[in-house]
Formats: sequence, C-alpha cells, structure tokens
Amino acid sequence: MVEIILRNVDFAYVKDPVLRSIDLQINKGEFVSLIGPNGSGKTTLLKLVAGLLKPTRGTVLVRGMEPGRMRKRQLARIVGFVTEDLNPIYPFQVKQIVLTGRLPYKSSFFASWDELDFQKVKEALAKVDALEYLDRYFGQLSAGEKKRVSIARILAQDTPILLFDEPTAHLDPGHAVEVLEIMKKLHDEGRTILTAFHEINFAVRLSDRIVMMKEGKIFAEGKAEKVLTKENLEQVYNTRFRLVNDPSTGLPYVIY
Amino acid sequence: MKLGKWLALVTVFVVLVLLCLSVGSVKVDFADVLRALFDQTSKHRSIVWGLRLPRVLMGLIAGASLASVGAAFQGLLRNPLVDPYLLGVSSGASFGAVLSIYLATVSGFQFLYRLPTLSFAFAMIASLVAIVLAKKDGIIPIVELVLSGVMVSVLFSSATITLLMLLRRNITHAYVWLFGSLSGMTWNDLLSPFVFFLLFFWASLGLSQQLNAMAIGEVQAKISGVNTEFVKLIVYSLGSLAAASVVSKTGVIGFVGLITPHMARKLFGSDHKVLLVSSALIGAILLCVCDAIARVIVSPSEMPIGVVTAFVGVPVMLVLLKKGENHG
Repeated sequence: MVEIILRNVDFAYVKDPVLRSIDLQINKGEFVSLIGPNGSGKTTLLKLVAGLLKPTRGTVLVRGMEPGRMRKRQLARIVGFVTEDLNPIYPFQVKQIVLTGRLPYKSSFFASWDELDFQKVKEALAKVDALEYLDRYFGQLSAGEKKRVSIARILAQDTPILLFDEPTAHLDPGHAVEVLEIMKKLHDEGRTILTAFHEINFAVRLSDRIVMMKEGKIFAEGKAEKVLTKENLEQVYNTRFRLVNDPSTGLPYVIY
Repeated sequence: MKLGKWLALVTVFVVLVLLCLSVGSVKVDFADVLRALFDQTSKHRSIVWGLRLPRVLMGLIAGASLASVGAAFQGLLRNPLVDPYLLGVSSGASFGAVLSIYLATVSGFQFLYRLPTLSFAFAMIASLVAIVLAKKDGIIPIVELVLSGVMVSVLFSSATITLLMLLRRNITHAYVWLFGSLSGMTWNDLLSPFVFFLLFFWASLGLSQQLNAMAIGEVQAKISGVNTEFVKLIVYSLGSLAAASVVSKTGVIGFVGLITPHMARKLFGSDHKVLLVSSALIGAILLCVCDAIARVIVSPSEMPIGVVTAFVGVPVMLVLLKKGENHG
C-alpha cells in the first residue's frame, strides 16, 4: 500500500525553486532516507509531507489526501515529524512537553488530559529509554536526552508515519547510535519512516531505500548498493570519497 | 507544596483587599470595613462602598487583566519582554485620551468627546492596524507582528506628543491620565473592563494547552495539530480588547503586565492553565497594593501608580530571580 506520494512537485519559497519535479512514492512500512548536501531540499521535502508547506506545483498525497488541505488534527494523527531541536523558552517539565503530543486527540477548546494520555506519555518515554526524566525540567537535560524527549513527544502522537529531520545532528557517536536504535525499533513495529540524514553510513545501516538529492532534484534512488557509487557521491557532494564493503553487513561503507 | 502556595496566595489576596479598603485619607479599621460592606447604615458606607470599593475592584480587574494578557502574549510570542501593549494598545489609548482632552478644550463640548470612548477606540484601531500590517498570506508572523506593533506605537506616540504641544492649557490633565491612576473610579467604570477580562480569560484558559504547545515552539504546535493562526487571532484580539478596556479607564499602567507573568512562572510553573490563573491573582494583588501605597505615601496627593508598581515589583522580582530554582 502506498502511504506517501509526491507527483511532479515543485516548491519555491520566493522565486527560485528549492524543489524541482520531484516524483517519489513511499510504501507502508518502508524506511526511506534522504541524503544530499546542505540546501539540496531534504528538509523542504519533509515539510511538504508534514503539511507545513504547500507545493507550488504538483501534488503531495498522504494516504490519498493532500496534507495542506487536511484538517490539522486529522493530519497530526497520521504524520509525526521530529524536527530540529526543541527549544522551549520557559521552564517546562518533560511530561508537559510530551503531553502536547496528545493534542491531536483532544478537543480544541478546554483540552484536558486523561489516564490514557498519561499512559501514552509514559509508554513513549519508556520506548526512548527516558521515563526517568518524566518530572525533570527539559532545560536541565543533555543534548542526547533532549533529542530522545523530542522523539517521545512525537511518539505520544501515535502516528503510523514518522518523519525525522537530521535526527543525529549535534549528537556524539554514543547518543547517535541510541537514536538510530530507537528508529530501527519504530520501523520494526511497522511504521513508515522518511528521514533526512547527513551521515550517509547511518542511512545505509537502516534504510530500505535511499533517495539522493542534489539542487532540489532527485539525483538517484534505490537500494544503498545501487545509489552509493563513487561517481554519484562525488557528483552530488563535490568532494572525493572512498567506498569499502562493510564485512559485517555486506553493505557499502563510505569514507570521506 | 503547590497547594500550600495557592492557599497562601488566596489568603494574602483576601487580607490585602481588606487592607486596601481600610487605608486612605480616612482610616477605617478592618471591622468597620466589613460592617460598611454588609450594613447600609454604617457611617463608613459611603467611603468604603461608594469610593474605595470601586477603586479597589478596578485595581483587581486591571491587575488581573494586564497580567494574564501579558502571560498569554509572552507564551504565544515566545518572548519574555512582551507586555499587553505589544500591539500599540497603550499608545493608541493615549492618543485617544489626549485627543479627547484636546477636542474638548478647543470646542468646549466635553460630553461630545468622552475620554474613555475615544481612548478605547484608538487603542483598538492601533492593534487592528498592527495585526493587518503584519499579516502575510493569511498568517501572522511573530517578527513582523512585533515590528508592526512597535511602528504603530511610535506613530501614535508622536501624534500624542504633537497634540500635547498644541494643548498647553489642559496639559496637566493629560499628563495625569498618561501616568495612569485609579482615582475617581465609579461602579459604572467597572463593567467593560470586567466583561472583556472575563471573555479573554475564558478563551485563553480554553486554549491553554495550545498556548503550552506554542510556547514550546510554533512549528512543534503545528505538527501536533494546533491551528496556530486561529489561536493567535483569538488571543491577540481578545487580549488587546481586554487591555484597551482597562487602559481607557485607568490610563497607561506599565510594568504589571510585563513582570507579573515572570513572578507567576517562578512560583507556579509555566503551564498556561496554571500560569494564567496565578498571573491574574498576583497581578490583581500587586496593583491593588500599589494603589493603596500610591494613595497613602504622599497623601493627600497621589503618586502615579505605574511608578509604585515598579518600586514594589522590581525588588520582589529580584528576590524571586535570586532565590528561584534553576530549571535550565
């Protein structure tokens, strides 16, 4: 079953297009990674699927409906989006932050939390191994802990489709691997995952399919071993690469 | 712990209201205040019921209104320096007030240019212009809104100064208004600030979880299905309406709307469901006490209330900042 369709999509913030003629289909339960240099349009593509932007031309469909035209709460029950780091300006406790992920299931006036909401918040925090932070203040957590809480907020939203924008950015290797393991667990549960990665080897490790982008277009797409050739990488990133075979997985490993 | 704080706050509230009713140029002790409130034949009835109670109630309404609007605006804009006058309400109201004094002086027909009406009208015009100027493709971007609010404020302030230059004779009257005061409040003055406060308070409490999501991040709120533009429109328009209805009666009272939400956050946390209530209570207490001080300290004359709120509020806030826990 197809979950996400982008058909001949263009997008421009002002005049110059950021995305051009994008055609992409993502099936239910698939793990798809977007890679490409800064400014290649990965985040914009994610925002279109999340309904935060509307295409200038073409069609974006999530489960057959246009995100930009869907009721916001309806969309929020289908698509969850882990964006850049959360930065609440006032002191909020972790549970208060994760609870906002339950808003799509609440009345839009005088929303109040019930037992199910608190249960979902605890489940979400447990899934990212952060239940112990429930009553802590968000500002007191480390970068890795904050990232896990921001994932928990979206997990509390309980959506079948999850989008991630650079989920391992600013994390040390240990914390980055923790986040990758969480993403793998979510994929194993049957969720559809579309994520942007800077670290190419992370994409290789988790993805069913890799979409390589350059200057707002899809440059190559398919299995890691097909997309990640020396020629493709050097053309897209404008730098020299070395490719080896990772004996433990049999997949390509990129050195730069 | 929290319950204890709430009980303390409510107790302080009741005691201070009684205290505010008892102080003034004629001192009335607590027992006589209570007697005057419930016994129509009491000898202090006219002072307590006719003069002080409407004034104290206006202080409570204005404090609650300005502080809760400030709390909601600060959350919505994710900006701790925002106050209820963000959209030009105070400068619009000032212009309307000075214009009313000017027109009455020039024409001699006081009743044609009622000060609160013109002041309220211009406060609403100012905030409406600020919103319309900021609006782009159906959304109200935060930076544009802050900028258009500043521009509208500067424009109306300049127009006010021009009128003050032309006024000359009645300039004291205008200055007294511009500094803000609760003197001369009657029961009739209370109705519109009270109704608009209730309307704003009810709507913003209803949207308190959405306000939490927006204080965490506007994009995050959108991702969680919040109709952010709807929340902004309701909170900005009802908040400006509440602030305008206060300012048009009392003049510009600064500081309460800016600093009270921070005190409330330090004491009761950032959850807007709690923050709106605690800000309203603390704002009401602060303004009521400051008005009592304003009446007594240079009696029989009065200090501008905005000056007293700063003298009282700044030390309290500094103590809270020093003593509060660090939440990162």
